[in-house]
Amino acid sequence: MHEFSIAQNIVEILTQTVEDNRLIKVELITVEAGELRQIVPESLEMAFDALKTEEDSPPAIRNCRLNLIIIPQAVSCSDCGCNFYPEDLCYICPDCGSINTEVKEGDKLIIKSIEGETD
Amino acid sequence: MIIELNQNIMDSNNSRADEVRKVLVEHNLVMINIISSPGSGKTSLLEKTLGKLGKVFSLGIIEGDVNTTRDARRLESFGLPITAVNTRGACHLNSTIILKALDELPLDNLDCIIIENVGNLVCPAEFDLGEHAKIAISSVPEGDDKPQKYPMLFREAKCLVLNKIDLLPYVPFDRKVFYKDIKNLNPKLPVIETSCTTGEGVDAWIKWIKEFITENRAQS
Repeated sequence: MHEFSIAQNIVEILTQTVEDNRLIKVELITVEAGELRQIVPESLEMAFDALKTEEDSPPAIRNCRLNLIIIPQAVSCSDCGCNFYPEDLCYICPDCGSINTEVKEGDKLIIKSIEGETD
Repeated sequence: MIIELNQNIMDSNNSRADEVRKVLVEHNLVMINIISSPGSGKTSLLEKTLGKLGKVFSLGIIEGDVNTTRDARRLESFGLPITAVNTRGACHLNSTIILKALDELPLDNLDCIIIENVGNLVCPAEFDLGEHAKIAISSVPEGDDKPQKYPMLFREAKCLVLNKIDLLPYVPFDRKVFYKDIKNLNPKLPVIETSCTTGEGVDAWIKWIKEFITENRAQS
């Protein structure tokens, strides 16, 4: 249940952003989760909903909705430069067979944006 | 208004992991983070490892457990400095816990710290603890499908121990499938087969970890 720790971090960052920008209401938070991070959307949503309504969370975030976008993986070959999706979790370059490949997308956890109102 | 943040959700954990790395560099320490499912033999492998490895390097242990200090007690007989950490229900260690645990170890007298993470294949792989290497243990009775099911750990690991190979004749485990999946997932990952019951392969594992510690201490 790493979703709980992740939701805690999200609420922490959200709370800080509310303070920094003097938001009175946050409607939507957009989170991008790389496919490789194995986030279960329902679990993240449940944890986020529980934490945003906790007593010490700012009232401005109580009704904030979570928009979770799962980002598919993109791998790039360091030898031939081709970009590919790791079908069946195979990270070997399908073009040249190289094992020197690097995950470029789909391994991150990012808060993209927050939509809210100031007073 | 829309505020574009583009902020890494793991920032706070990562910045504390950077603090851990600073402490490690200051004391010329190598830190190893052992991750596996519950019951795949983390503590047993350490029991087989600590005696021999402890003759070459001065070791400290951070023993993570959801509850109880049983694993730490199992390792007490080696007479090494051990810090037992209870996560009180959480399924992984994080860098804040490690930073605190380091305070309780005699860092000036150590060469290497071994962390036994909480038994879990998903969450511990997510958290940077500031370690030099994550080591994955998979065991034969768990089945050959673990790499495909939990790719993150097997991508992150610097070494994979396949434990309980003495049980190969008794349980369905297709070595070919296991190795093919590992090769696809992480072609550079070394795999060491061990049995903590018969002792098979344990020396190869100790050789790997000795070389890893030596190499990484020389670099810092």
